[in-house]
Amino acid sequence: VDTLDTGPDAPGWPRTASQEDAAHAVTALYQAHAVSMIRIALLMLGDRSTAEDVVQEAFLGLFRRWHGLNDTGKAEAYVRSAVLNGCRDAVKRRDRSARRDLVAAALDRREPPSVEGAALISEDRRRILAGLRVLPGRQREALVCRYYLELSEEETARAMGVSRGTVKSTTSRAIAALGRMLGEGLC
Amino acid sequence: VLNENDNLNWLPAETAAAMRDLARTVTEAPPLRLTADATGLAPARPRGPRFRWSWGAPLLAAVAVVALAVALGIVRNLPSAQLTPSATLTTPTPAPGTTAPVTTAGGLPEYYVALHPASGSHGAPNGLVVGDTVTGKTVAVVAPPAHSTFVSVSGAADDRTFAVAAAPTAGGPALDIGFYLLTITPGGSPAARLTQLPMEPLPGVIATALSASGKELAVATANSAVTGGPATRELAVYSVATGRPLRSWSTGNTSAIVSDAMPGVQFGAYADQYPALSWTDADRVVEFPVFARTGGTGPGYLVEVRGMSVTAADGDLIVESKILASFTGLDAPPCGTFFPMLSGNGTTLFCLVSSGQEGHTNPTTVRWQLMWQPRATTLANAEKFRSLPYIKVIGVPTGSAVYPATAWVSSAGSTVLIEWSVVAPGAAGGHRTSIRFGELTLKEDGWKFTPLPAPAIFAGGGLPGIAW
Repeated sequence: VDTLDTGPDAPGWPRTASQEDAAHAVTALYQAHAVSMIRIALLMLGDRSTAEDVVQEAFLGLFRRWHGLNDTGKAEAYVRSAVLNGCRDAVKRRDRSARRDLVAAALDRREPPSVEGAALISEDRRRILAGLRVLPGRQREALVCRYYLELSEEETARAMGVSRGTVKSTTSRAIAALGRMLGEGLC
Repeated sequence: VLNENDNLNWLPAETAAAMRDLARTVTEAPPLRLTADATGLAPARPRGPRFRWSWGAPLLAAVAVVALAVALGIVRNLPSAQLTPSATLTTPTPAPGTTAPVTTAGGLPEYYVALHPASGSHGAPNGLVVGDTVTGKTVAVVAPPAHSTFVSVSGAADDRTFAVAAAPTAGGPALDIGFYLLTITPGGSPAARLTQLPMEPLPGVIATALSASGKELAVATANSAVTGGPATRELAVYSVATGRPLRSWSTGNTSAIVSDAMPGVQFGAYADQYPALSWTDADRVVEFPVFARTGGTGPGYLVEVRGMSVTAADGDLIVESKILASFTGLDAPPCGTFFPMLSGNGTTLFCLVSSGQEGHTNPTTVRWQLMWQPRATTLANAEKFRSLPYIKVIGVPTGSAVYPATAWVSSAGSTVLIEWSVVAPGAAGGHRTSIRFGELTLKEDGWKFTPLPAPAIFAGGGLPGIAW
């Protein structure tokens, strides 16, 4: 069994006892969950650096609110919620500042996330990922929740703040759109 | 190239695979920047847009929090070497310095007493083993009385006196539990002496706890399973010296002490015991949990930790007791475990939340997070309370079960013995393939874990029981 001890460190922090506790607790949670959160954000945003920023901000938010949490045992759930919210906001900002088009998305698929990533991801799946990036945010979120996080329709509905029926229709439309883009060679 | 008539049934699975491929490209995270500027608590300056925070129902609860209640013996220590000598329960003021807790240089109690199959084989009647906490060496072995098997153990603060409950091996419709006192004298001859307490055996016993002074024994019963009468829970305090009951309280609320709402609860037939009682506040209070499923539109779970003053008049267990801590949860039992462990001074509860939701780190390994979370009770000074958790992340083979436990908490809540073990898929008889046990100590910069030899009680299934 591979084990990983927590070892929080937060240099530069103006410390009181309670703030220090919060800093260590949040840092320990970050060490435990940051990679998985960045993965979710990367799927939502398609951009590693923005994904890392969103996750960073989510954990900072957790830190700011640590002492107001009713149940710190659910801090991880709060962070996941914050990451999803952060991704939605990031998508809105990005869409407002420079609306991406299909051509840009098609170019993106030729930019794998890393050399290692290029070796890991087949061309067919890179086309799917490129298509995923140009789906509307809610459709992409539905697919991430349903097929990556393997949430049920009910759980996805709660995560997205919509009804179960909306999850079904959104997922269905997303798959149809993805299939259409693949069929038409747009991704 | 697809056309409109193509069936897209394959696409969800392939999309999931593509997303997993992309996710796997992330293998590390940059350091968290918790500086004064980044946290926004420094003097105000322009910041980037802040993200909206959702305080709705917990999201993405794809994997249930696993609440694990390992039936460990209930033990505690005493604050500032204060013990009560009260045998009549009429003088709750503790007398100072009558007995000092015996501990190692590091603050741990030196010896533990654990149930152990008398013949060394699984399924044999349980005897007792006395072990050295730090070295793991066996100090003494005690056989069970004839036709009996030990089912639970709890310790006094002197680390030399333990109460042991025993059930008949023959079973039957009404298992009468008998009580014994084990006194250990390391280096003496014998090193451990077992004497029967002058108490009548009791049916329906579900939990016991010896007071820190070793002078009182708290016993909880659920008699309905045995007698077939109305469902009740009863808490009684007995004099160890005379065996006489000193106080008793009862309730028809079957959420109290060991709740009917807990999964897998079976009273009576198997003499199952639970770590549901402890003494606190210098032997003035007996603590017990209330666990309920609430349903409806409110929170789904309620856990209260209640304290019963031993000076309270006989009567209703719920009415006479006071809430020390209360938690609600929507999707999973709050505070993780059904039986959070309380520090001897009554200020700190240790919640234990275990979850395997981290998913696969590779096709054969799943990440689990184990978190021991101190929570303040109503007896704590909230302003000074340190809620810093200890978090352990482990990778285990896919399909494994992980069992964490809080085994012992010091008086002040700053030293804790913890354990976690893994049952790998296919392990014969649920045998735990990996056991970690050790001491948590609270330092200025957080909790420090020091491994210790794991007592054998943690290795297998069956009915656990260990006390310090």
